[in-house]
Amino acid sequence: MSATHQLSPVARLEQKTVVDLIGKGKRVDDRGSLDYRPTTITLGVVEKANGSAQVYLGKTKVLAGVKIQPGTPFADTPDEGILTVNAEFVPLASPTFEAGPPDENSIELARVVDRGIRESKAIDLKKLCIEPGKKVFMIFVDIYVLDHDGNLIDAAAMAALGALVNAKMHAFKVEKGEPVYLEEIIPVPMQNYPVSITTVKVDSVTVLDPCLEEEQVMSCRLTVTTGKDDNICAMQKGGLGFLSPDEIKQIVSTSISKAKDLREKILSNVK
Amino acid sequence: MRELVAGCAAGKVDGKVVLDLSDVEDKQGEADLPVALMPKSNVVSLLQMDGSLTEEEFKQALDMSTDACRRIYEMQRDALRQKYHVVKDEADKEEETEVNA
Repeated sequence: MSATHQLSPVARLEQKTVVDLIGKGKRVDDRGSLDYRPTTITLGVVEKANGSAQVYLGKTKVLAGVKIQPGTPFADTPDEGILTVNAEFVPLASPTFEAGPPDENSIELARVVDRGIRESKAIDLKKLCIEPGKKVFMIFVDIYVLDHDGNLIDAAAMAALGALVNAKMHAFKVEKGEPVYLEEIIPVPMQNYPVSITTVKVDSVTVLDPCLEEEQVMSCRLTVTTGKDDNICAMQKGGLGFLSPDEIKQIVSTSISKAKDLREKILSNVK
Repeated sequence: MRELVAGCAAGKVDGKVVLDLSDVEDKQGEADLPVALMPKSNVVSLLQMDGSLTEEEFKQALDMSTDACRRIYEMQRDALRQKYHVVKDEADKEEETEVNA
């Protein structure tokens, strides 16, 4: 995240250690440059939500919840349900997070996660239509960052996907433009499973899944989101630094294969 | 100032990778990839993407947009030179008249 430049400065010496290590092909936590931190994902942790998931990515901890309720569709998509993603950086997650209205970092996080779900057409929004132009289901994905140890985007995207896969709703039929709920419980109509992989550049080296110390010394980052067919559905570069076209191609190619592994892991949790 | 930055978007419309999307192409096309390049250092300073592209299509789109950025860069540079050329000509002329006077 570009949360980085707002963090209180780490001691110069510590920053130098992080940079020097990466220059030697090592990392502060002994990982290889392409290693992802251990990931655990627990589904259904919030009883009252339609769906929820909690993700640990190393020491980064993110909770996502899904709420589904009827509402009015947008004028330009009268027969489609509505997806809304919000992110909250809880003050206890990091000394730099403040209570109050969302800052640019939490807005960027929510937008990148939203774009991944939307552009991969992860949810079949047409199946969430109750009466075209009048009433559709709205899906709210709320993301809470509980512990910040770097790479919030990937952890949040994973938690959001987990919560959506976990989400249940009542089957419904339509009577006089109103939904009549049936006994049967159905999942949210999912048709794709987007996974984000973030890489940062430190000095002249690129490393996958940055921890907090690495984010504080990065020049820029690139998040690549891919769907189940290995197609790229969203990308976001952040930070003030630069990437050469060749570096970008390399990162994209690595991200695609890493996302594949991670997707299998997330989905194996479901079944 | 390091150097000039040039920008150009690539995208995918009707299954074809294309440059410089129009409004309709942007809304109805399958992908959009805005890129900003600093051509002399050959580095990308802005990159975003949404839609759906295979890895091959992405590489093609990135190559096309960086090439286009280089062409735009030349136009930017020429336009700047042209402008200061005119100023220089005028300054030269003024100097001449002053000398003659």
